[in-house]
Amino acid sequence: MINLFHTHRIKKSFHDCFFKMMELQKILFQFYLEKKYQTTPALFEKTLYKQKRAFFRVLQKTRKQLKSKIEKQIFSKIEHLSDILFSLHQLRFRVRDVSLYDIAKLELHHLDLSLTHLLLHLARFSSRQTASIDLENYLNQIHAFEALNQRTLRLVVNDPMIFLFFIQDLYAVYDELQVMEILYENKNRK
Amino acid sequence: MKIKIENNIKRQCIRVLLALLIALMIDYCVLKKPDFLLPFAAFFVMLTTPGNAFYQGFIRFILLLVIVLFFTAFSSSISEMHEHLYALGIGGVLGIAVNMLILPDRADVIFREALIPVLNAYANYFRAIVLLLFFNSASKASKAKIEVEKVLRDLPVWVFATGFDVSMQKGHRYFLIKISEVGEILFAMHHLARFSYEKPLLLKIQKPFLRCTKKVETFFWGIIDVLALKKNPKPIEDFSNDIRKIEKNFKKVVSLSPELMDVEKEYVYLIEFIYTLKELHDILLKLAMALR
Repeated sequence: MINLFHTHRIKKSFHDCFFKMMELQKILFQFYLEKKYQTTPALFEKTLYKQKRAFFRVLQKTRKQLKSKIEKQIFSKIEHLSDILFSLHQLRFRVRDVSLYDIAKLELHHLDLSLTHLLLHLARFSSRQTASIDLENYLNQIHAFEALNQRTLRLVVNDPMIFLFFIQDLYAVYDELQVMEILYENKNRK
Repeated sequence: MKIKIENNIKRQCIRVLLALLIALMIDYCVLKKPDFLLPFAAFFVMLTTPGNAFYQGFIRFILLLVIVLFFTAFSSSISEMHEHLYALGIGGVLGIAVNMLILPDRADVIFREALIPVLNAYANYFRAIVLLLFFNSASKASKAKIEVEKVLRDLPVWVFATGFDVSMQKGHRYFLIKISEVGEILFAMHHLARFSYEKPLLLKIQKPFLRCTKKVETFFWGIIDVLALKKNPKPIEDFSNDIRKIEKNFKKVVSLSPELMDVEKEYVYLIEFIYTLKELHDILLKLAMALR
């Protein structure tokens, strides 16, 4: 009975972690897509802080509930994923010319949608038996951004390494999500 | 005689009690019929964030006014409604005036004190990240990260509230934005430090990196000392030369094509780590300049 209660509780907590992470990454992407955030950093920081705070609160709550090895592994991946997201969005501090975001607007929008969809999928699947996430669409969006970088961005940006870092971190998210899928499959088998 | 009360919570409690006392005196001695709305309004409009006594107090007063108008419009007579509004008005003005004039919140003090534990946690986290990079001590980095997450939940974001003291708005918001940025940089560095790099590559940059780490920590502690208003703050040393040394040692081992084609993942991560270290340096310098 206690086991059932713990299982239900941990599933809910993982669901909340992914959901809050999804909301956090949505806000981070909004910086590139919404002019109002680029012109009023205080407004963006205020909005971002609320999401960060909610996310950290959920992380702290989940951390106290972890028991089995696999739960700790999944949680560790959630933490890694959040660090990668922060690394990914260092882009907003590195790009001085905000008009570059207009050039990449479509690709960034698709990346945002794809990541949101993946994290929402993970949130829903953490509370169900099966876990299968479609990473192909996300990979396609990374390739599209890479192509744009090769064609245009690296030629107009001050430092071409900036977008190379961004792409590398997009791949890092992909790798973490792949591992996450395997961990969930192992968890559900047990 | 000037009464000095340092603790901000004590100041707030004394303010509220004083306002309630005056409100009750007016309620029972001045008004024809005592009305609970007077002390309640005085208390309600005082529940504001630091540096925002007037604007937030006024908004709360308007909110209370609308609620009272709504309820009294249907349930009370015109004269009763006037009495309620009169009591509300006196309570509101009293609350805002006491909040602004008697032992007011020292937003600058609360702000400084709120940031000290954040910077402390940042200094420990940075050290733990560097130890993770060179010596694989993952548990220390995880513990330090948990501490950073805890302190980041208590950032003084009330500086972003509409109506925050105009004289302090720009400077305090800028400082808080930069502090927040440091946190994100450290999370990014944690991600980059987790990667398994080749030992020979790490050994080439280890010495200047560890030297740099000490200076970064001292930089954090120097800023903390200034925020804590210490008479002799720790001297801050610019670590840009150490970063240049790290880059120089890195370039001795790795050569990149100008077109940046087929760059190995390991090299990209390490370049990004050094890049992020430069960004950390720039922000710390900006924070130090802001405090001058």
